[in-house]
Amino acid sequence: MFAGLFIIAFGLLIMWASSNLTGGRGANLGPGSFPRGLSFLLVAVGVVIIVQALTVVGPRLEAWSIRGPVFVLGAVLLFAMTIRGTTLNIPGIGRTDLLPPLGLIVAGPLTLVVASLAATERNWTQTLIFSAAMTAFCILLFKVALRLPIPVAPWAGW
Amino acid sequence: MDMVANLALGFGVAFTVKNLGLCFLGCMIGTLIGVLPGVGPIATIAMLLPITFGLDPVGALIMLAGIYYGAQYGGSTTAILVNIPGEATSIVTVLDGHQMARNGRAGAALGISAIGSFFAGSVATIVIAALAAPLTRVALLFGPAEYFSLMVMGLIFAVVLARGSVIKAVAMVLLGLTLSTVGQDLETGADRMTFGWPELSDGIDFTTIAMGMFGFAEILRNLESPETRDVLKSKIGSLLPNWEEMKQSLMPVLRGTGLGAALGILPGNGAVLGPFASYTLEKKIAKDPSRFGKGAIEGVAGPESANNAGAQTSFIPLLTLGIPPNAVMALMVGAMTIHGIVPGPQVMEKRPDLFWGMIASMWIGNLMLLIINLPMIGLWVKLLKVPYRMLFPSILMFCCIGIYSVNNNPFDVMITAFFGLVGYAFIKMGFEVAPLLLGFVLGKLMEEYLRRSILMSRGDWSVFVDFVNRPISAVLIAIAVLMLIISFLPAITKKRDTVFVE
Repeated sequence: MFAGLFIIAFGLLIMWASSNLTGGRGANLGPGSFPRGLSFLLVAVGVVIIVQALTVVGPRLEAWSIRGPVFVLGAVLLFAMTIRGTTLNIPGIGRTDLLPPLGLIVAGPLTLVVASLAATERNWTQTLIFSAAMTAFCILLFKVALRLPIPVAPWAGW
Repeated sequence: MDMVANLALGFGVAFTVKNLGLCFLGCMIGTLIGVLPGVGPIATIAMLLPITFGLDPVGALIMLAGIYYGAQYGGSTTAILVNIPGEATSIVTVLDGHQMARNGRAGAALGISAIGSFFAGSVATIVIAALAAPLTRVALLFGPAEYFSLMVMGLIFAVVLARGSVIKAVAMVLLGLTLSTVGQDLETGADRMTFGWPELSDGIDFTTIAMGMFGFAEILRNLESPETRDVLKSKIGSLLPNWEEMKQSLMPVLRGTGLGAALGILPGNGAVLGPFASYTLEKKIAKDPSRFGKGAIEGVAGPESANNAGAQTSFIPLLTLGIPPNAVMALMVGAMTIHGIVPGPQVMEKRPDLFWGMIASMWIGNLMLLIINLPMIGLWVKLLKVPYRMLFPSILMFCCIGIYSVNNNPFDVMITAFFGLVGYAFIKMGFEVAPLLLGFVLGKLMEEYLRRSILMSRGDWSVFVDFVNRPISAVLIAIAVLMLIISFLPAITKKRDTVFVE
């Protein structure tokens, strides 16, 4: 039921997003025809899913957990925001630095510690030692051995 | 004779120090992720894509292929010793493999699965070499309409053979196709569906979808079920099966290899289907079916051979037609595109070194796996003791660094987190994400072929089903429609469920 509604909503979104694209006539299909065709199919499929959900008794929806998504995806976002810093573009104020570029040496342990919070078991000493060791390993592997252009400690010019 | 000459060329390429090293590395990583439960080959290949940027295409593909079939080997180790399928294809191995381990025959189970896999892998390599040239010749006859129809058929097969609801899988394919249209239009260069975001005008990066929906979403799913690893405490015992067991395994290995190789070529999750089919077959023709589930060696030998054969032959549609039959092959398309190679029938003509080098490396890789796995089994068992709470932050970190390195862009990392959330939501709503990835990879090509066919037919949409002028295309579409109808018939749906449940 919910899944069907989701698919229909997505189909409608695509229909709206492709409405400003030329569909093309006759032999020449324009940029809009493929997405638009897909959006119709999506809505149709969504309807079928809903009908199926109403007629067939399936397993109940699983419960969503909050802890995992928050800490795991939060850790990933933190990595994205700290590796090269974050600049916000606030209307009226202009560009503001939210976070300075901190590099892998800060982003690494931060990501690892926050991610560890997603697990139910916890051992702080172990987590901290592990985070430090893992970050060191990543710096050696990615920066030193594979020479990926990833900032490690930008404030020190590395 | 051609085949021999081609294989000779391939072995020449594969036998350089560098390529041997990369093959070995791929097999090691593959075994490692196969052994560790909760880390799949799809996530790993997605993770390692950026790292292969620095390699030449041949080396990169040799390594990625090694990871894929290496994971099939490693998966059986976990299945037998820990009662957890390390990888989707070893679900069946758990049934009898772990029981054998309980009966003190862990070594024999590991041994026969390695021997069976090696045999199946070697045969499958020859099958690829034999089928590649004729199939490529057929593919070269294809026009845009045939290609479009072929892709439709491929996607339908993937949908029908996927686990779970068919209609939901259709929805996922459509979503994937839609996501592929984001970015600039192929012909006019107009911005499409970017919602005015300049970040989206280059399209959505393949790695962000793959890593988000497979890597991150998989972690989220694993975190929900608390792990219980019941690592076998008793001794593994001799790795060589005894004479009696060898005799019992011979036919299952042969049958498993045949079944696996045939099913692996099919679009959809062929490599997953093979072991199931083999197990069902062995149980059906066994003199005493009640032994199954209690440690019958046939239940290990057959499926293990089938899964490795299937893993290998699933490269055939990719290499000859340019159509990835499953999510891992979709990632291989991504890897090839990154290196500027368009997968398809042209590859064999333009890059015979790459084509045959990769095939030859598969045979070498299978040999390496035999050596990696049997003597080093103790090491892999130790690795099983790494707790998931340390494993998943490390995976997360590798993913972050990997995605960042693709374009040196933190925005990509955020997009990946978003897809992680979406992937998690899909799992919760009962969708499988693999068809989405296939749709996404095929989307751009499908649109191009569709537009070209319509242009060439002067707007006549019946080109795809014109039995007189375009028989190949019409037959392909007919097969696709037939498959779809069959999958909706209630009797078949029930049977399909039992196949996957068992």
